[in-house]
Order: sequence, then C-alpha cells, then structure tokens
Amino acid sequence: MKHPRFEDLSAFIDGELQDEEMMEVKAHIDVCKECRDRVEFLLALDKGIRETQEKWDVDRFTSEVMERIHPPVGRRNLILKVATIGIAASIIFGFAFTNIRDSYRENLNKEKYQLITQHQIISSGDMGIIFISERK
Amino acid sequence: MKRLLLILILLLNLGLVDKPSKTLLDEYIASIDPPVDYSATMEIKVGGSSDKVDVLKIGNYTSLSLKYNNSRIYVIKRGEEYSIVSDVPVNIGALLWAYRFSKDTSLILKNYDVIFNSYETIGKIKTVKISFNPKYETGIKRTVWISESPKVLIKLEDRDYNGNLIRTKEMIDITFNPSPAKKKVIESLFNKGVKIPERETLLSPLYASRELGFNLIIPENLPSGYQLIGADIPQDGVGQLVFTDGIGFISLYQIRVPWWARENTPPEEKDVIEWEDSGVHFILVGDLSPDKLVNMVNNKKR
Repeated sequence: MKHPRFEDLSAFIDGELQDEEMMEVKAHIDVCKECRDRVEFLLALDKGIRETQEKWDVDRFTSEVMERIHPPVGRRNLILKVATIGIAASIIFGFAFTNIRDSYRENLNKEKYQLITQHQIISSGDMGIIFISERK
Repeated sequence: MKRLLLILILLLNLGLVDKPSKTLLDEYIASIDPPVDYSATMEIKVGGSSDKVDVLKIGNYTSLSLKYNNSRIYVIKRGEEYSIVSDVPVNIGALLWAYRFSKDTSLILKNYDVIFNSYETIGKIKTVKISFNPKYETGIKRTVWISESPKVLIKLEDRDYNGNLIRTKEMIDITFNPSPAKKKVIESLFNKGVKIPERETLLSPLYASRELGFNLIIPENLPSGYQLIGADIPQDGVGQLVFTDGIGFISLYQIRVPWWARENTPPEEKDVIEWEDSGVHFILVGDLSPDKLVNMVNNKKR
C-alpha cells in the first residue's frame, strides 16, 4: 500500500474515516515507521490544541470576541436604550438648566429696576415720593 | 436821595453776600421743615418722571400726598415718626434715612461753597436765591429759592457738573396759615396709617456682610468728596453700600449669584453700571456721569 495522504492520517486520528479505510490505514501504520511517526506528530499536535482549548477556553473567548464585534440583538438594544436615555436626559437637563438660568437672570433684571427706583427715592430726598408711587 | 437809597440797598445786599456759608446752609435746612403752617402743591420733576404732590404743614404734622391710580398715598410725618396711608404696599424705608443724611451740614460744607446768588420773585413771592457750588467735578450744582419771610423752600434745582438738569421741585399755589380744621383730618389719617419710625443710622458694612452671608466689597476709588455712610439690606439677599457728598448719593448694590447662574462680566459705561465677578452681581447707580462711576469700581477692596 502506498503512504496515506496527510489529510487521511488526520482523519484517521479523528476517527472520521470509513471502517474499511480505518483498517487499511491502521494496517499500513503498523508496518510503516514513516507514517507512524506522522501519526504520532499529528496526535501530539492534537493533544496540544486540546490542552490549549481547555486552558484558555478558546470557544468562550472566541464567542466573547465575536459578541463584542457583533453584540447580540438584545444587548445591542439595551445599550441603545441607555445611550438614548442618557442623551435625552442630557438634553432635558440642558434645557432645564438654561431655563432656570434664564429665569434667574430675568428676575435679577426685574430686581435691578426695583433697586434703581430705591436709589432714586434716596437721592431725590422728599422728591423721591414720586418714585414711591411708581412702585408696584 | 436816590443815591442814598441805592447805597442802603447795596449795604443790605452786602449783608447777605457776607453771610457765611454755614449761615446760608442753616437757613436752607430750616426752610425744608419751616416752623410755619402752609399748604401748597409741589411740582416735581426727576429725570423723565414728573408729578404733583400736595403738601400740608400744620402744627407738628407734615403731610405729602399724591394720586396713585384711583387712590391716594399719604406720607405723614409727626416728630420722628412717619405714617403711611396707602391701598398699595409701599416701602419708604430708604426715603426716611436719606432725608436725614441730606441734612448733614458739615459734609455739605466740606464739599460745597454755599453762596448768596440774588433776589428773585417766583409767582408773587420774593425769594433769596442760594447756590451750592461743588468743589469737585463729581458734585452737583444745587440752587434753592427760599421765601424771604417766612423762610420756606419754594424751589430747588439740581444740575450735574455739566449743567444737565437732574431734578427740580417747586411749590406752586402756596398759602400760609391754612384752616385749623385740616389738622383734624391729617391727625386722623396719621392714626389710621402704618407707622414707621425714622431711621437714625444705616448698618455697618461688616454687620450687613454678616447678615447677608458674604462680604460686601467696598470700592477704593471714591469720587472726590464722597464718603461711605453705611450699608443696608433693601431686599432679601441684596446688600447696599451708600455713599454721599452731602447732596449727591451713590448706591452700590451687591447680590450673591448661585453657582449655576454665574458669569463674569466687566463694568461698562451705561446709565446703570453693572458687572459680575466671583459670584457677586454689582449694580452701581448715582448722580454722577457713567465715566466717573466706572472709575469708582476699578479698584475694590474687601
């Protein structure tokens, strides 16, 4: 028998060949040191990958990375909601703040005219009585 | 004979010319509250406002009254007490202490030369015209006309240093010794009104600062002749520093601004000078031109 292809050896290790093919490859390995060495290499590689998978939980890691790149629809909606609420709250707060500020400034302006009248009462002496009559 | 009469008139006039400022000033102060009963209409013009106030001085009562919408406001003085009769809320606290400070003769003499000007007849009343000439550019040119006998202030006129009219008042239709029956009317009105005692003094800036919860800032560059006479709290949260040279008044109002409404703006030369600095809003008003008022606030001390 000629040497099996690398893919066939890999499929043999993974048990993915038909029974008949499995038996043929096994018979060859038993007599062919070169192919046996290849199988051992492939087994070692497979073991290393499995150990790494166990240690790092590659599947979970991959899924997390993928989630971040394409968040699931449910989470994406939550983030969108939070962001929208945040922006809306900022706008409302901004408007409210501006309104309160404007209202304060308006009152300050009214107060200013009352104080000017008060000063005119003072500086006009008894003539200031006409400003008293103008006071609301 | 004519020459003799001329000399006699001249000598009489010289008597007035020679009167020292203090005597003329005392005559002026006495003419504001004369010891004679009279009734008159006082025509008043202040800036763009004008009005007619009825004045009645009878016994120890002096009543000022004027029309307000469909009613009348009465401010009646008896001794050291005032009574206000009004349908609308009226705050005259400031008038009561300002009236007192405007009679500070030593301060007036410090900043003004009081001189006899001439004799003038207003209506049918012969008056003595007295001028208050300011010693500084920041002063006011006041002219008063006082009836010869009895001595009553008939007319008063204030102009700024450049001659622009600030305010005038003139007694028109003055009659002496009004009917004694009017006294009963005034007496009953006085008893009916809200009593306000005349204020002797203003607050100290320190006391006002403590009451307000922030330090009132006192300008260093006061206009020539002006001095700080005290502080007041005319409204909640509003501090006021009052300056006078005896005739002119300046008020510097200071209002603490909440953190969320603060802004920093410099003083500008406008009719009313206002600015904001370190959370305090300042409003400066007075009888001086805006450029002189702005000078006042260039340097401030706490």
